Amino acid sequence: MARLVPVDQIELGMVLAAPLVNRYGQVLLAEGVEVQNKHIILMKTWGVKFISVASENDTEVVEVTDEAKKMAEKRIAARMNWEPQSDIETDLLKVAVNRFAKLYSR
Amino acid sequence: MEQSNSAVIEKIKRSIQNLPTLPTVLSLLNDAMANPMTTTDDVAKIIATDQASAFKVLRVANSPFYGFSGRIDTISQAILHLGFNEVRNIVLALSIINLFSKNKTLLSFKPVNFWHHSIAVGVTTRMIGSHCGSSNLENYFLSGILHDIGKLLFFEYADTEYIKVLTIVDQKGVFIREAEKEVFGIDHADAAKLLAERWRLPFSIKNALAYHHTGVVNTVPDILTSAVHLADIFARMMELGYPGDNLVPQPNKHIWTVLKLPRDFFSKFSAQIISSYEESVNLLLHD
Repeated sequence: MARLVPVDQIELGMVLAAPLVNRYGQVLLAEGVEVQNKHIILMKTWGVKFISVASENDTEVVEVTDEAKKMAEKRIAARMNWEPQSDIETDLLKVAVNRFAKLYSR
Repeated sequence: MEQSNSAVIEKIKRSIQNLPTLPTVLSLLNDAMANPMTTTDDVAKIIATDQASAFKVLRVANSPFYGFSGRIDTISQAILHLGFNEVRNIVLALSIINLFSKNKTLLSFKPVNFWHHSIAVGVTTRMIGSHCGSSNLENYFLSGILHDIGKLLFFEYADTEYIKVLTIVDQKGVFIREAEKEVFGIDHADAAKLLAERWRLPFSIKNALAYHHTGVVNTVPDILTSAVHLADIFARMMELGYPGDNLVPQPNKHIWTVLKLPRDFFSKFSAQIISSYEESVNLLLHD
């Protein structure tokens, strides 16, 4: 999944996830280019505000530990006073537990 | 106590009257769009008079959120692809975010985190709407963005009292709306309704703001209101932004029959919602 990064927050070596085009659709930098310092200077000259870069966690696989899952469940349970009443509510809770369990597992 | 409540309500009402009207570009847009003879170029010209909006509209239109990534170069094209109403609502969302100060802070309440929550509810509401086969999706994003706007009214125009509200939330661990009721006699949904009337927002959006806590409009089912209700719960559960308290309300069970979402809706679409959220935060909050 690509994400947008403001030009002043670009880090060297970020990879463009989409071609960088100007307002007329002309390609300034191709997709897959690794951003170097000279590119940043050029982007600023062109008035580019954002670039689309490939997100590192695309390929990152996080092993969720049981302990992390328990911590995540606790974190959410502390903020709600109800139990899921249907499949979709169970699914919602599962998605949230998963989100925090991944954070705790890092 | 009664008296001080009504004094505060009067104050809020007066503040709403004194709130800047929406920028002229919007009233021009509204007039133009009410005229059946208006062409895409007419609308594009109006938006182009406001350079800041024009650039942002293009940036938003080109975000993956709308699925036309990197192909829209002109306002006319944006209107062609997204439709009049969508473009108008982008301009509206941007103007409203810029209408309120972002630097003031009261205790744990920071406008930036408030807008993060609102944007999360905006993108989630839209995603829910698109899976319910709703036809006027452009109102979904905007309703989500604006659902808590009443909090900002209190925050800007009744800050001494709002500190009391935030202290109650902190000490009693209640929903911010309960604390607002205690201090003001009304909550942010009521305040948003007043504002929606003042700004003459569409009826459906006004209802969504006024009834997002119950998800039904005076016991009448309503897809948009249910969608905002559920999106608020999702954003709170996932901790996307901070709405003023950290509790997760229970969904009103009636919304499920209105929305008819697949049972695995969240596991299927949450990743997409979160990436749209991050994208939109960048686009709407950063200059």
